[in-house]
Amino acid sequence: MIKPLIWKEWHEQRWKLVFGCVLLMGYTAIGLQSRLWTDEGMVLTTCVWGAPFLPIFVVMGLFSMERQDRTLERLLSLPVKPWKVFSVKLVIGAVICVLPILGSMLITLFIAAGREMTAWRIIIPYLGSMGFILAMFIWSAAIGVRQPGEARAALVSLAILIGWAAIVMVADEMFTRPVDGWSLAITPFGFFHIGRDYYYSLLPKTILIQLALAVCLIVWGARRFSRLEKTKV
Amino acid sequence: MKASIALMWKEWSEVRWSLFAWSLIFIGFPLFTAFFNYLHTQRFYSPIGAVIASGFGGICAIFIASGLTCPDMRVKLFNFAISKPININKWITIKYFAGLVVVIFVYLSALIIEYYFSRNQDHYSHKALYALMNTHTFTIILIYSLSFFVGCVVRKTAYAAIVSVSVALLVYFLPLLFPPLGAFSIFNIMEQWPIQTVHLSRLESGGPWFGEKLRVLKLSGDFGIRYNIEWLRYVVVAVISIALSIIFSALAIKKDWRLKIGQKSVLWSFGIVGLLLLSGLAFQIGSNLKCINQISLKPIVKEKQALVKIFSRGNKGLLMFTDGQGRLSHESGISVSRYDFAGNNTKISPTISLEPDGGTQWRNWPVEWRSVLWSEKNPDLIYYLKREVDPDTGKYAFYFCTASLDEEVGKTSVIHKLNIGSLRSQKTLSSCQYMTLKNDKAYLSLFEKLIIVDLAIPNKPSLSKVVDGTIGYVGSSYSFDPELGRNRSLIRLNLVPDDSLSIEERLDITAKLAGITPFIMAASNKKVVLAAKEYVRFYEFKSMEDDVAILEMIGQRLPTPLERYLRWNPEYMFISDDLAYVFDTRGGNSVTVFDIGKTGTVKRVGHYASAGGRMQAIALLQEKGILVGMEDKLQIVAPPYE
Repeated sequence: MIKPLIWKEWHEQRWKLVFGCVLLMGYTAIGLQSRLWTDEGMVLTTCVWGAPFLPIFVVMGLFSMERQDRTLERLLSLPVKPWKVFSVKLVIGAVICVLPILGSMLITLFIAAGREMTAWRIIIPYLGSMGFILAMFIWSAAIGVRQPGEARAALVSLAILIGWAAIVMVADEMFTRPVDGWSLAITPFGFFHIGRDYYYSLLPKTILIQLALAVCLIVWGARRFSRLEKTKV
Repeated sequence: MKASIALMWKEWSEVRWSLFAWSLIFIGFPLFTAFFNYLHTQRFYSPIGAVIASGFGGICAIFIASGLTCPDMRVKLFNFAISKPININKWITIKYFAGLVVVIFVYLSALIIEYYFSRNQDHYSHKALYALMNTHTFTIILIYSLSFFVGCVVRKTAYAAIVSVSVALLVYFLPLLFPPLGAFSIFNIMEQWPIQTVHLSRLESGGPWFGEKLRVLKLSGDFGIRYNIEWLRYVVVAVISIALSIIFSALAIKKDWRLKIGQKSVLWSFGIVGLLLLSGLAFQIGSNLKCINQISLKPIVKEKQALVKIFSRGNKGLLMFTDGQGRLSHESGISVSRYDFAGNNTKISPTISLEPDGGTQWRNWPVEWRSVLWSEKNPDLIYYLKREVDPDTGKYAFYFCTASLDEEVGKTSVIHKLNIGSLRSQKTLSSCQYMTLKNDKAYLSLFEKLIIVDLAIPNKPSLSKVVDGTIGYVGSSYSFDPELGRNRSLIRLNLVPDDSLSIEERLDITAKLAGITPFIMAASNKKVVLAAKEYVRFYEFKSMEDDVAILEMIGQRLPTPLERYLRWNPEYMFISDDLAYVFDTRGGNSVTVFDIGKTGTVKRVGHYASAGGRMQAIALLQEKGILVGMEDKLQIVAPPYE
């Protein structure tokens, strides 16, 4: 029963993969080929603007579309456990989120590796971006699973992003001494502090905290998804 | 009246949450940061009001417009609404203004807060705030109005917001990126400080630019408002567009126009707009010339040393480095290195440091890198100008020094010093000197004097001539020629007074000595190209009057709005085979190639931006391409048309 679910999700969502790839890979290719900026600048802008964009864009149509099109009842009436449906959606969504940034990384390696940056220096920010994307996607999917419309789902994602930014800013303002990166690790901004002295000490902390949070959020999201039948559409 | 009040109440109850939420961002955030700034520095100040207003103003307008229109346009709700005995026009107008008031309130509040915080600061930051208030406000209203119309037609909040973002991107960036629409580029208009209050009695007089673009509106007494005509045109077009948006919004509701679009088409349209704008940007300022080889200079340069100049002839030449990255300082040491890129060679010799005789004495000036000369005719010699104390008189004098380049020793040794006098000037050495070599002669333009040094005996130069007066640009005229039936633009150049040279050679030397203000100049085959921030002009030699050459403009190219906005700043230029190579110092520096082969046109045919390092100097390699010198590497760039 899982295979048809994967097939359904893939057929519904695959255009987003194409769209994400065209946009992000196109941006990277045009920017690097025409040397609009330094290679490092291009890599960082791709990672930084691609990171919030992709999860918002994927989450918008993952759960709320089912509710909007009234297909959720049918989906939940299938002889398969709701958490499995949730998991399939989550996995397909995660793949769609990550592949465009991976494609962008390959384009960068193909055009610019060894030109101004070593291959490893190109790969690190992209890996950080992938970490951020996955974290934001899981947060958005789990918190926004019950949203009845795409706009609300997108707003939930935006609110999460703004909330994270607020946490980091408040932490920065409240403490005159560095707070050992806890605010950066709790919010996945820790993935983006590449090149700083403390990046390699911050990274394991960020990964561990985000993994723990992701597990909790997935379990919570799956439970909320299972009870969707009972909620008002 | 009762219906209007009821409608107002309805819209207010819908919009008040938006007002609260956006106020938190536009007003709360600057106050919040100012509060924490006060805790840390005892100063209640935040510089982010203008950043938030300019960065989030458009987004706020889009969100409010989409949020106000779309929820009321759902089929059932819409049918219910229009079944009521209310005037649709009134409903739309009240809805429109309810949202607009919120947008303008939060936008202007952020700017006013910023103005309050910066009240004791410089006039420059106030000018930027005024420009945001008197120009960008219209853009925000325009975006709000267009988003309102999109909301009325699309009728789905998320889709309407995304389509509106695409529209806003076009409003902001299309005029900047596509030159025919340049007159409506908000960025170009704002950077000119379009409206200013002026004292009429203190207004600067005339000037073609003043007459062309600026108008003055007299207020009471000595006060007036000076406005830019481009601003007025922008405002008129914005107001017309706003009015049309409102009219079409009302029509869309009355006639029930609906644009049935799905997520796919909405997002693709957004993506296409983004890529279209990026392509426009890449087309205008991206590099179309390809780097074909890169040679690291790290093995030969020391730490903090940077390339500053390239002397080139054929495929060989000399690279010059300084310790101070080109800045004049007493610590800045100069060193040179020969290169040979003939055939498949990429040979760069070890550096030879310039050791000027007596250069370390505190009373003597250091050699400045711009005053060094080298020619392929005497590759083992280097000439430079130095200011030091004359032992006979005890006063400062200028010396034209000759030094030999000895790679084995790694240092130069001075073999001759020619005293060319004190020149009676207190001006610094670097501010007004231009030097060049031609046919066994060195030409130095120094403190309104032309000094010609004879190099017939290369290691024993002698003073040939000292002429008073400046050379280069002496004036221009623009008039209608009834015989030709068109306008003629002429410039007059005072040429180097050396009758042993041909006119082509005199033009070439004059261009090299003329300096960089108000434009840079290069000449070749009786053609002269002038490059400035505002134009690239191409002149042809017409006649001579004594030592003054008269040249007529036969083509020009004006910068695109994007080039103007990014402040294209040409600093060095040379011409080869009807191609003018212009080195500009904007951003990370770049080289632009213009084709001047066709009379009447100056066509931009190539561009190379120095991503990944600061470009320092350019030169031409025979048959290989353009040699681009970065601080610590050389790049060979394929020329245009290859």
